[in-house]
Amino acid sequence: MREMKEKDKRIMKIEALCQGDQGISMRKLWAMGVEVHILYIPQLTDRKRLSHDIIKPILEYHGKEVMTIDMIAAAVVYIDDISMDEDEEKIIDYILDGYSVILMANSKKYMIANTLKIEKRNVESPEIQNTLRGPKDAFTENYEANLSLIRYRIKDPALRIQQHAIGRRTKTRVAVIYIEDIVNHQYVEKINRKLQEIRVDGILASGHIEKFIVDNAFSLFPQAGTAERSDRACASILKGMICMIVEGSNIALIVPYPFMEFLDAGEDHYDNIFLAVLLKWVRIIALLITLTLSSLYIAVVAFHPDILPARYILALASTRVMVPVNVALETFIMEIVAEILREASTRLPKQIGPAIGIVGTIVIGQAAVGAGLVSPLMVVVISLVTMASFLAPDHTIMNPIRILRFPLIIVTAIFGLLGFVLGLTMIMIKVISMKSLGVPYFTPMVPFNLTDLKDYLFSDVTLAKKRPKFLNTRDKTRQ
Amino acid sequence: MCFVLISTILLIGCWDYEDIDKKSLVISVGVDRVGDKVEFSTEVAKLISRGEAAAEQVAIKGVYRDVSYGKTFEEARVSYDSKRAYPTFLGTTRVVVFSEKYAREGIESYLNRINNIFDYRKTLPAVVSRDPPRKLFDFGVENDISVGFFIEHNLRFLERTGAVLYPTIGELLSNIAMGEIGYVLPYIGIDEGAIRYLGLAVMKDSKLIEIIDVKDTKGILYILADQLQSTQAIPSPKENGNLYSVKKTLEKRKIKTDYNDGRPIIHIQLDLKGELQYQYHIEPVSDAEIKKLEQEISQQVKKDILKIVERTQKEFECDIFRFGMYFRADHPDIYKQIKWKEEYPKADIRVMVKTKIVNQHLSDPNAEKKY
Repeated sequence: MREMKEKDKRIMKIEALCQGDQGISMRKLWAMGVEVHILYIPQLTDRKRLSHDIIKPILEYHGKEVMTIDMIAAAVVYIDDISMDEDEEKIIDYILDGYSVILMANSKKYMIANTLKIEKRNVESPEIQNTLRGPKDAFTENYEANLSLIRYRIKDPALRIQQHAIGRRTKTRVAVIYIEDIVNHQYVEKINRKLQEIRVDGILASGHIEKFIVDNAFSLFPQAGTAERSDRACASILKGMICMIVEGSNIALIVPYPFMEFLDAGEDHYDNIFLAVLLKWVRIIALLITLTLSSLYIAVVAFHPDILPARYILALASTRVMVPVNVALETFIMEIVAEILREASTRLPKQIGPAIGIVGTIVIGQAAVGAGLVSPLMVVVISLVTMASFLAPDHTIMNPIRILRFPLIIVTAIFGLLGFVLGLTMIMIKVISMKSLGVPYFTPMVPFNLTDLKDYLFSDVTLAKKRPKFLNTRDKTRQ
Repeated sequence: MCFVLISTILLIGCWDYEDIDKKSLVISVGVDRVGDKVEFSTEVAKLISRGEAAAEQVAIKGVYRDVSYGKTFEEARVSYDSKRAYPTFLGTTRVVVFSEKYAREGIESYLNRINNIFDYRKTLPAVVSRDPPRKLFDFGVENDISVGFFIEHNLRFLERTGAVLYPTIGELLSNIAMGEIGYVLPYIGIDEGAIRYLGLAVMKDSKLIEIIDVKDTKGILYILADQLQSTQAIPSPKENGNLYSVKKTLEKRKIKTDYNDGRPIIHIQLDLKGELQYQYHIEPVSDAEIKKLEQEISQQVKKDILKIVERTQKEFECDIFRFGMYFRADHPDIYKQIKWKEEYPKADIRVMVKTKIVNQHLSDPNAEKKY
């Protein structure tokens, strides 16, 4: 009698669950005189699979044995991924996770079947970390697909994928991926601890996780690398770094990630060694151009023209004759205009994006110079700065550089070359004193390590016999 | 950090801010004496605006010329500034031209001025002009932006071939600081309808004492020019009226000093490399003839050097070759005891020239006749 009451209570609870606005559907079956309830969320469920692999076998069962939940699991349903549980409180969690829950009136236990199906896009080419020579399979928003891309590349039994569910309400899955016998376990512990300490209600993208693992919320420079391509993530894992994949995010995070790594494109390692060295230097120069060229222009034009040969001074002066505003204001305005154009081209739909480029070029490049509002050399400087800011393989490193340009322009406009040097020195002090998960941010330059620097510049798999020293890995040898 | 910031703010500041196009860019400066006044004549860059320029062209349209007078440099400068729309910028100055008249009075005061006015470049050349700088600047040039640019480019080009010396203000100041030696400056003027290099002006105690004509400057160049390259037509050793064009290049120059019997001895050793470029009439040349040619060249060079050295000792009584510097370096103690100015005229200067013709081009001793 008491058992009957309990059953009724549970059924009532389930029915109440389905009547709510949670979008849970219930399918009631009568099979061999036993009542079977199947609970699922239609949007997350592969309904074809549910019908063919669960409902149909149950209804068609005409065996001699009495139908129990264990028997269904063992001998009736076709579905591969099933598990059992008894905790009634967890039923709702399983359903919200996208599983189908099968309950029977004659059993306290219930079965959880993985019939999850998420609308997802296919693995496509990368959009922000494009490559000419490297593999083009980019991560998608699908967690399982992203993990499969990594597993497909690294078939090492020592590959570890630690999973966390973060976010009180979103329960976002976060995978911490590393190779057990390579990685320095201190980093793994640190990351796991930081992830476990997260108490937020929701995680929607890897950017959220990145904010939680950095030391300081106001840190300007990124302390975690991003990987859109799976080969980039795998290269980092092999190096001894930790990769984090966040459910619903197509960008993986990599830690620890020192400054210079941001300027390393995956394809450097696939291309000719000389090209790799050349491109590394080109990127370093581009970074310096982005940060300093407009400030230097102000310093030279307004304070210290003497540092140029006389002919250059005359050419410089003649380009500015008709410009009504002073060079500092001119530079500041043009930098803002360049940022507006950049932001506009990022936000605009793909079809009209190029139009902004044309408008920008004509309006800024031709009309403004023609009208005498800006000097032609200023346009060259701004174009060069803007172009150079796109050169970093991991664009996140250029964001602080773009921001720091402005204080550097201001300090140079006030104090000249001395202000410029002062500003640059302060930036360098900041960068050098930073750490990414305990690893000095400016390694291998500070602290200096010739082998690491050589391996970094050459980016050649045949020459890099050891893993980077700064990662302090367990297995230090690569070949 | 606070200290650095505060000192930055105090030491420099926004008051230094001045856009380059809001400055008066001086291209050349001429210094002359007119009556009891100093005359500053200048060429100031005239910048072209986009409106005036042809499409896509940004250039300097030429120069404004300007003349100011004053009893002192300072007065002349005040007079000069009073006519300017923008502050003067001397960093673009290409050349300082002293008139012959002013140079005879002495140029040291103006060199000191250049030395201490911070925006003057110390690498700019100084020249002495036969004509007043004002006339020179007014004369103008067609093949360069302005007279200042022309003089600089012309001297630079000639210096690369070893045809002229290109003394910078910095070098002149170091010569003056030495005290005991003289120096030479390029001497220019308007000749045959063009501004051209005419020779070297000998400066003793920073005062012009003599002009050496361009054809007599070879001896000086062998000793002072950094790069020496000269091509000369030398009569054939066969004495048949044929001429050989020989290009001489200075390979090595060694100057050693000594002091013996109360007399400085200076050894000059020159190694020249010769190149037989072509013959006026092609004929076979034997090794013996080449040897003879080498000796002839060596003799000629030695003669040129000794001729000018003798002039500096007897006529100018001034060490324009900076032998004093070599002597001071080799014998610092003796140098302190003697007065180089007085010792130089009686110095024994010995010249040794070795010439090696390394490239004989058309010579072929085994051939009856070439071609």
